[in-house]
Amino acid sequence: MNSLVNLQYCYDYLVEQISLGLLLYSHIPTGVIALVFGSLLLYKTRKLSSVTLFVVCLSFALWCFFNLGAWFAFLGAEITMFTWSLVDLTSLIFFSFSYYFLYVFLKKKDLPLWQKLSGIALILPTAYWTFLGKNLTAFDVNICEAWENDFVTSYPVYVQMVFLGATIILAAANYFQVKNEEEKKKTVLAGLGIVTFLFFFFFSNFLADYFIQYNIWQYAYNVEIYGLFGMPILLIYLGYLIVKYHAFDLRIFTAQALVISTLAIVIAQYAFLHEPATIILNTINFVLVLIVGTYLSKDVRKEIEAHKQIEKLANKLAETTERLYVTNEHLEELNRQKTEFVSIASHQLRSPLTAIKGYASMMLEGSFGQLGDQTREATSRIFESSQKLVNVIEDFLNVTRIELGKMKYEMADFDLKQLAETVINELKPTIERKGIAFSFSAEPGTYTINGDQGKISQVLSNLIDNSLKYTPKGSVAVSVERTGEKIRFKVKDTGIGIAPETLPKLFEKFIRADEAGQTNIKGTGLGLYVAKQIMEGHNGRLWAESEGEGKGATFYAEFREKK
Amino acid sequence: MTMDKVSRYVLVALALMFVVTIGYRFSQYVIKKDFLIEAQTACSISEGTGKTCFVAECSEGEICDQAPYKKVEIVAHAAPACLLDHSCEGFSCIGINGHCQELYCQEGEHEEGESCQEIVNEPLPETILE
Repeated sequence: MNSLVNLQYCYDYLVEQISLGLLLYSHIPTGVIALVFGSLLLYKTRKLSSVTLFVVCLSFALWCFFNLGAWFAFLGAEITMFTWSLVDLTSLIFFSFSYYFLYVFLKKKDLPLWQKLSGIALILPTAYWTFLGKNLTAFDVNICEAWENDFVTSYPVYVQMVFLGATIILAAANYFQVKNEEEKKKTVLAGLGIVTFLFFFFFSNFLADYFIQYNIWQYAYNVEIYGLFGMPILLIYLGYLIVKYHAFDLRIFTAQALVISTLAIVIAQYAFLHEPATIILNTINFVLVLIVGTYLSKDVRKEIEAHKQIEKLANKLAETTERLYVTNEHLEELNRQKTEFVSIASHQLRSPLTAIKGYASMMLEGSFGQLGDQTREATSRIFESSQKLVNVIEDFLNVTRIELGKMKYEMADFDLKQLAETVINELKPTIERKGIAFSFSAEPGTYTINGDQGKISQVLSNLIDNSLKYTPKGSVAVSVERTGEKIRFKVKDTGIGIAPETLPKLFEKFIRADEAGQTNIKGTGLGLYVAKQIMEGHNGRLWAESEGEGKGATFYAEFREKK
Repeated sequence: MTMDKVSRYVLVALALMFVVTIGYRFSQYVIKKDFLIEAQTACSISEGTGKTCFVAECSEGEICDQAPYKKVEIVAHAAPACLLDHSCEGFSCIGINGHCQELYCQEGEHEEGESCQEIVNEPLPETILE
């Protein structure tokens, strides 16, 4: 430091007024931190908000440099005159750009042209006076200070006041305008940060002038240096915004800024240190911070890269899900259209089929005269085939009703045992033709349940028919039994059985046993699905059990007994 | 959001204005030393000149230097180094190339904390008022 002293008188005069260390400590780290923050921000993102904040940080750092030069008259009167002459203009630049930054950050759009021109108009007089050197009149060797032109130097104070007021109004207005809670929080953080920074600066300068003007404290310029600490406060607020809300779309920034700021503080400590031992300790401290900081930054960068990858994948997943959702909706619509088509087609088929079946029945009953053996055989086949077709169409219609939510149940009490006997009776020709052992058993008594008799009849019929189909030889045993408060309809066969992997999907649409193809069994794969849906419509339960392929199967339909 | 053309021009214009101002002030103040220096130096006036020196007024109980002084207003590039480090003896503007003005005290026009005093003695040693 001593080698820099050109005017010993001014050095002694300064030291008498203020702590040199405090002066350095308040200006250098603050300016460096601001400059590092602004530069890193600009390096990472070229958004308008980053550019404006960079100008704030740069002009503030310059102000720190110029102000320090103004204090350091011992460097030479010309240095003090040069730096002192620029402090007002520099301060107006960071005041105006603080407003500009806040506007862009909060409104997410550029400042209107009229506001830009107004700002420039406010700054221009100071720029003009500074250029011509009208703000300083002379350098006073006795007090080692420049003499200011009172009128010219008081003007920037009023302009600062205008920018500060505009910034407060902007932040407050935006707070009440935005509805989103997160936007409100961002407004509070950014607004408070900028206003605190400007207010600290303005108030400390204003206070110093006030003290001096009214002779309250002759060393009032000491107060000025505390105004600089508004900048770190602003940076803390901005750092929080970056970490919490990813402001400026940045993540890693805070770790880097923290490391560099810490380094700046450690470097600034050299200003106070004179003893070799403390200088060595500070150097060790500096090296440690440098090493640890570098590793910390690298680690954070890695972690953030990993987070970014995860976020990318999550975004991709979300996009795929969205596409799947849209596709699914499209498929559902197609399915609905298909169901409607099947419904219409089935209805159209049913009417002529009923006529075919009816006339075939009448012919068999002799309504059109006695039939010869060959004619009877042919008519009989027409009748049976049309009956099968009616069943298939009924299955299709039931499926469409279920899928369209149009299935209606006419509930009534009836005896399940009686219904089972009726169904078996109707299937008797089929059973007889099959040539396998068939039995029906039930304990004496009534088995009253509540349900749609027609639909339940279809369930029982489907279950028996299913067992008959898949039992090429052996037996089918049907029973009705009581288990607690439930009545269970059971069909046990010794047929082809069901593979364990088929069991869970047995009651789905168009599902048939794997062996169905091999055994040349005809069916739509809708019977069990319809039966299951009907049972669920009755709050009943339908399931199947099988020990595996070739080991037969047992189907259960369970109802709640009506007391 | 990036900067539009107008913003860019505004920023460039401001930056240019700022850089030019810095450059010009640097050349005026640091290179050319084109500014005034206000200094105080020992006052020695012969009887009959009608000029009076400044003397600091001390408050009650305050110890201060009451050596008479005159004020000098001089352009920096012409100022001798002794004026800046308060070591001039019998400084005079005579022979100085450039603006140089010696200011003496005039009753009713001096600043607060100082008064006028006619000195008739031979030159006094240089005194620094602090």
